[in-house]
Amino acid sequence: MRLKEKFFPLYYTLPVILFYLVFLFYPIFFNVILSFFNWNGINPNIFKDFVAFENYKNLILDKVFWLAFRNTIYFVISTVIVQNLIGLFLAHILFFGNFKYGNILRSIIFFPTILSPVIVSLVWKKIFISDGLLNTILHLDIAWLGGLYAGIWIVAFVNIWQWSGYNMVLYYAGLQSLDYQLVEAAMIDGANWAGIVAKIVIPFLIPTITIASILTVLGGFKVFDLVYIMTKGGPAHQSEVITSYMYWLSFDATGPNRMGYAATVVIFSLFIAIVFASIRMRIMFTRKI
Amino acid sequence: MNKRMSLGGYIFTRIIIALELIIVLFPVLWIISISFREGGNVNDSWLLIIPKKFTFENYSKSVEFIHKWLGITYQRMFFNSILVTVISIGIAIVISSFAAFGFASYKFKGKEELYTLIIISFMIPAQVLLIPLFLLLGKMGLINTYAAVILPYITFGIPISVLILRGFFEQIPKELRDASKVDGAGDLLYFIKIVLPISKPAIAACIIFLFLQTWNEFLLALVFLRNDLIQTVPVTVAKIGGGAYIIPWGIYGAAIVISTIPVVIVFLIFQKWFIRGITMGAIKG
Repeated sequence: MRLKEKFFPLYYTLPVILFYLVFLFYPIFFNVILSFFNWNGINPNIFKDFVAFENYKNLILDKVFWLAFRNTIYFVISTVIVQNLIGLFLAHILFFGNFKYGNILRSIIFFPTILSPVIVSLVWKKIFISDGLLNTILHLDIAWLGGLYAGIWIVAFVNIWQWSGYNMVLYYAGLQSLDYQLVEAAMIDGANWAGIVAKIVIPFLIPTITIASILTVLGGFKVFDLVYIMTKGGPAHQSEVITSYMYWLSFDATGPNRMGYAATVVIFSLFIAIVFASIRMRIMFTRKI
Repeated sequence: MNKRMSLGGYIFTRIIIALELIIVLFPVLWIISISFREGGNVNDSWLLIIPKKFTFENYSKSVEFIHKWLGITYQRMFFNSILVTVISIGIAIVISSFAAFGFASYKFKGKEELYTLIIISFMIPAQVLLIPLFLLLGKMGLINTYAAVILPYITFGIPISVLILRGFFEQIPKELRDASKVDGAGDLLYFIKIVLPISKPAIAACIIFLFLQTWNEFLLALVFLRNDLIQTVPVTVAKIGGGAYIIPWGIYGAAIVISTIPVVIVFLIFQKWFIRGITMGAIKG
């Protein structure tokens, strides 16, 4: 399309800009402001109790926040590594394996991705719960979800179960644009499969790996549904992640209704999002897309 | 393209994929099996999956359960989700395609900056917006109405749509524009009559992407839709795992199976589009 010089195509972009201003930028700004106030969610005057940096000070001293922070990091790191490895591995197997019904296999492996995380958690909850499938088969009596340490790892495991197929599909798409003659030439030169993967395929996939990792990290910092359904952050906040802690602080019926403090807790999520957004932007501009 | 493989490689790849299929399908088949069996115990099945006593009763009981304890019917729950999803996606795609056309066909100052700002915003996590949106929507009197989730869902749908559509619009050959100009068509007419009809593949990719994102959204729906009757599928179904009710396993399984059916149907019909849409959105994004 030929580009036309124009002052500003206002009537094309205006609706999008309006939605952004009202439902995105204004709320972000408001959340930052709210983090400097104490507000219980009921008092009609939100900005009555200005506390400056007190919420931030409390945050640093708040053991539960650091627990939620640690769990979120565990979750993000384990899902990024494992989902990418499984996704890469399966994509290679499917791509180089000459499967007759490759399309159907890919669809089945991709299938969990389309399910609501709520549904996925409900199913796995019945497997891991104390009177659930796992304990019954193994004749055990382990509180997988209610234990002090296992909770967050089980949540990560379920996430990996759901999303590995997604990473596989991304990598498979990447492999489809690989110049296969390169691989054949290397084979003629006597290179083995491991060498070809390490020297040709993986370097070729680096951009896809970067994008898949960014998507997984961002998804990881948002995790809520899985924790909310499977452990409710418990027992005693042991499996809490940032979002579930924020929800408990603000809207949960059993929580303390500390809206200002909850707004402070998610400032960290906002910070992470901005960091990754700038990394992503740098990649976009260097590639001149 | 024919790839050579040794016998060992052949066997290895088959074993790996067989294992993967078992891992992926086992929980799915297991919950379906639970929904059709009497009792939820391991002992009530062969090989964990095949029910010893087969029954449809769990399904009729789950209909009663949802009605009696969750104050909603399956029909109403699906209606809520369909309404919210269709309206959100529809509006998001209409306004995004206009913006994408603006970005694709005009030069103006700060264009790339504005564009980057728009598409990068998909990274903003919903939890940052939760409290402020609750207040804002409350001020507008929209909490506990469909609009409370529709408006944010439209906003969340914009970045990915603008991204996919701009990329597509820019590949349209400029001869088309010149030809339409000869016929005296203005920009708007050209956009609606020529650009949009040939952009069906890109629009389909957007729809698939937004469908999954919108249909499965949980956090905002949980907080903004407090009234049982207008809750979407995830919010309603989440309650059966909440521990507030003692639910026999069979009914639990049936409720899960029923609430998953619409997504599975959509997936089976549009399988190819799903994989294409998801890759388009991710690779470019």
